[in-house]
Amino acid sequence: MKKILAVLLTLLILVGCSGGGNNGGGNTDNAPADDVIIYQNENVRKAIAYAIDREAVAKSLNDGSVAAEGIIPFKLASNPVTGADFRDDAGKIVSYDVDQAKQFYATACEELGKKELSIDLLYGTNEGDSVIKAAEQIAYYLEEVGFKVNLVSKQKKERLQMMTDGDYEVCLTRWGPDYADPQTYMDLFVSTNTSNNSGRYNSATYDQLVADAEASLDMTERWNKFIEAEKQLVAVDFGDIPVFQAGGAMIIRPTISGIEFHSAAVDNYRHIVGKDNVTLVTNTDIIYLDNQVATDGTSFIAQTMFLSGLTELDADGNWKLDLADSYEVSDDGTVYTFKIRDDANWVDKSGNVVAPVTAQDFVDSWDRLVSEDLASEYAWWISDVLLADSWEAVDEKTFKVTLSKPNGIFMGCLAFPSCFPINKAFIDEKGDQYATSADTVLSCGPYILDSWTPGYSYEFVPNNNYYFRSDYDAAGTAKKVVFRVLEDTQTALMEYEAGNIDTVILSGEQVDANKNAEGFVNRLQGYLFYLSININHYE
Amino acid sequence: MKKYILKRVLISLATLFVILLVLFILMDLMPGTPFNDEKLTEAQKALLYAKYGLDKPLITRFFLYAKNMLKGDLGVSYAINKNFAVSEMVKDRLGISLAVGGMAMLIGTILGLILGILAALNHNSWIDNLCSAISVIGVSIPSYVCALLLCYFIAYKLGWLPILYNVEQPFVSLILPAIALSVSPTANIARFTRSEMIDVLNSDYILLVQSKGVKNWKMIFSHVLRNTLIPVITVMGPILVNLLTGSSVIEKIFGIPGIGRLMITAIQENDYNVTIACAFVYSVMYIVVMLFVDILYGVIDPRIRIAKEDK
Repeated sequence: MKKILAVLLTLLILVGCSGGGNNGGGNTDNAPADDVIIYQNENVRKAIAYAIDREAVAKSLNDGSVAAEGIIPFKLASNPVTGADFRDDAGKIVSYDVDQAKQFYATACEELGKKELSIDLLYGTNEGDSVIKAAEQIAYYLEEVGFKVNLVSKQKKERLQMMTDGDYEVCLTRWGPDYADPQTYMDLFVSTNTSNNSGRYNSATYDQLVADAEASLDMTERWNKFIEAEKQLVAVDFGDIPVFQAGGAMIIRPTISGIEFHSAAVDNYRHIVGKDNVTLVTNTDIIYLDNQVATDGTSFIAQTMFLSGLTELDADGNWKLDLADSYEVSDDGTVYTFKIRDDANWVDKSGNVVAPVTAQDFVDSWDRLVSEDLASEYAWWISDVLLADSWEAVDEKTFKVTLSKPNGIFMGCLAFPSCFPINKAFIDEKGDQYATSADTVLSCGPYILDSWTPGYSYEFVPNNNYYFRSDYDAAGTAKKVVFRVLEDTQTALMEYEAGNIDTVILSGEQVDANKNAEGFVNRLQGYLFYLSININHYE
Repeated sequence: MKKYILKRVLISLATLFVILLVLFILMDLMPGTPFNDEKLTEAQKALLYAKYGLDKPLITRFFLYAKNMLKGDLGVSYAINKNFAVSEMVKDRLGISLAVGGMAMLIGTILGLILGILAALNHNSWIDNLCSAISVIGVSIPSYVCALLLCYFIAYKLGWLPILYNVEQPFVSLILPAIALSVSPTANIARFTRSEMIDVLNSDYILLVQSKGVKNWKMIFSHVLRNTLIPVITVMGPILVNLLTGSSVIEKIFGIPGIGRLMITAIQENDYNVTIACAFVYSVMYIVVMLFVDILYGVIDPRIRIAKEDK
């Protein structure tokens, strides 16, 4: 007994000493002045940028990934006037040239007074096979020009913590766009963004270009400023180095169609046709059913099944009205007035109408989204993306939004789940239990969440009180959509062959083995992988 | 005996308390936080820390957690199924893992004992060699290889059983995972039974029994097996805990929402409450099984019972 007490006492002392949470923060700036700051040398960054054969890296991943041509991915945003893709307008601003890379490397070594330069390349181990493969490929190309590369692999959460703490040299990281506009990327690298600009890229020119673009009322000028800003970051300063844009390989049963993939918005599974009972595979489970707190694609996809917003996106990514049946814009483009459909209703799990969807539901939603209590990751959506200054319910079915300035992407961005309506009375009634099961959510979309077994599956059945339901039925839309959580590709493939599931998400070796299979799809995702360079890293 | 059991129970409770404390400290030392996410700003992270009480000192959080735990409240998940009661998450998944693990243990024990006894009784014959070969193969083949082979041939090619776990037919769809899981325990129990039984068969008291003319089968059941089982039970304890707490690999392959997978995900996501709860459940089961094994010793072997009572 004495021994146990002694152990306990020791532990208590230990606890007392360790104390507090582990709130990290800020970069380490306390290095001695005479140390070499390698990554502030432009030639080091240029050598890295020119060394990587992006085409070869993307090709080796074999899953539809493509080489990056800039920090803005393909098919993210289109020119507000001509409709051209950003990449078409901005062109290819990265290059692969081993000889030049070697020259930059030699110059850098000379300038820094070193025989050899070594790089710690940080990457995540649990972020997909393609990340590991890409990191190894990048290391290979860097070593080709002379760098000594030390691969540092960490779990995602630890990697992100290291980036936050500025405790890394070069990190293979990614950004998934939140909306279809260059701004979603450009904002990451401004010097004031201490949360995302982990490498502390700091360029007054870049900051000014981004600020000008965002302040501009002229859509073309805004567009061109972003093009210039991207060039400054990637091709002048070599501040962060784009590598590839992620793909995704899967097999979809050839008899079903209507799955709409979006590279800069939530994929839409509402319009699946060709089969009454569809079972789709997801490799991650829903994290949160609350559309205003969720942050991951899987949760968002589930929410767009049973919830609706003022608008939704079609297969081509263009918006169309959903819960609103008409809208008006003021002449200066800053005041939007929406008429909400008379037949828009909140429906419970059994399909009974609980309440109509009102303008107040939108006011409640937006108020809740920006409230500090909720601490939502997407709190900034309202002010920074929609550019909304104020919102009000003019009458029961009229919702009015005033913007700080005209916003070309406003209508499309309303299709994002965070700004879908909420039923405040229901949320208050459910309290902590809200959105933790199929019984504690209401539906206002084309489907009802029929069941959710965490870690196993979630199932949707038609919402017969959804106003477009007759159109859906006429089009032969699926009567039951089941998402099955499966992580193993091999057994999923067997299950697919046996006819029990209708999609398989492929990874690693399975991509190669199945690329000739019927229904094989290589999709392009919005994720852009780049090398974040920690400018302030002291050796 | 009662005094002995009471003492063991008290020690077990103290051990659990220490384990919980160590878990808490380990969680605190784990790099990263549940809220490491490229989309969260520092200000929002601080808000979330405050919201979940993670900004409080470790010791305050520990005693709060311990207090809530006594009420059956294990906190909420931060990252896996946000705001879900951890007790519910663990309860649901533990049930499935217990079912698979229990089935696997049953299969493993029966097959293992049969193989081991057969091998020992036919020491140095072809049967012994065959049983040993099966054991060696069983120990060396990783469970996921076995699982995939079973899936491919029995479920996919022959169609006798479902490929994946199915909520609507839980028993049938858990047979394959249970068989896959039982391979290694079968082999371990077989090897252990064999060597123990050979020892016992060669001992002097068995010679005495034989010389008294006790019938062969009676000798095996009442003298040999009884003495063989004591060490076998010792190894079965940890094997059982391992099986009951779920196998992350088997769960992944068969799409089973079990506790093994939950724990791995929780660690990867830094979901503190879920990790602590899973690890704690594991500890509780381990300690309970060990306690049970100790008591079982006394039942099987009166000498141990008397020796312990004397202490």
